[in-house]
Amino acid sequence: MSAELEGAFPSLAADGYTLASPKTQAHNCVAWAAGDASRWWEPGIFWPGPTGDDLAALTGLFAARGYVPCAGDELEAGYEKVALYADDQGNWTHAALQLPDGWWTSKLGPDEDILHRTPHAARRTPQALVGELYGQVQEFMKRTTQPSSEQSVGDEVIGNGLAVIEPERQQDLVAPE
Amino acid sequence: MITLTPEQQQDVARRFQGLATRWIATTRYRSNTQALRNHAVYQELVALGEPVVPLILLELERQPRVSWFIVLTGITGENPVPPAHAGQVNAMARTWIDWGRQRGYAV
Repeated sequence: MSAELEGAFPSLAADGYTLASPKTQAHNCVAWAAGDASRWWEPGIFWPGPTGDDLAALTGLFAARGYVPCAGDELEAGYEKVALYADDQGNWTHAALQLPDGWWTSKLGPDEDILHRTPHAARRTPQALVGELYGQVQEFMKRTTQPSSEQSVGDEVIGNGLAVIEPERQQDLVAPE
Repeated sequence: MITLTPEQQQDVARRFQGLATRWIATTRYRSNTQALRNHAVYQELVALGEPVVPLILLELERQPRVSWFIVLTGITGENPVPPAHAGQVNAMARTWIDWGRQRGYAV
């Protein structure tokens, strides 16, 4: 748990989250959602998509990676989803990736990555990061789960090389009241 | 390269440290630093101009942060990072530090 984090994202504590890895400057949220922990993905830095600060640049980047717009955050077997955030000026701010168990994984700029959800176990939405810093989720996109990016961890197959939450670790999660 | 008196150097360093602290706080949790070009702290940092370039390079040497690259480009108009190092934060920082040394900045 992090008081600083909960101060920056007031909904986090109520919705439930866990710190998944320490701070690193090596990559950011977009790189993380795209499965690349070796680079910082941002226009002007490294950006394999249409350039710009606005949401279209972010949706264009994920479209170039095979994602198409979709209706919402529901978990769909055979698909991986991203939630794309923008502020009220229209600038993209954040990308979160849905894991196969329905939790969302977010790398918070140069800080930690976290796993987050809402209190409703049947509907694990990425709304916990909505607020002043990241604005609103403006777009959901999905693509079929990529066999080439899957790897086996224990009994579970996960995408993008990201770890699924193990049962022992779930006990450490910040549970909503 | 602009030459400052010791008093001017101290004043620039003092102003820079205050702004640097605010810039690091502003860019914390943020992935889209390029969208902050209109931010007041960015504007103030760029307005300090070339005298703060070596101070930023020292910050990069101490701890590489993506948010300094946009400020360096904003002040110098340059981007010395080769495509092969694009996005690799440590390599980008080293490139900027080397760039500064080649131009005679004390880093």
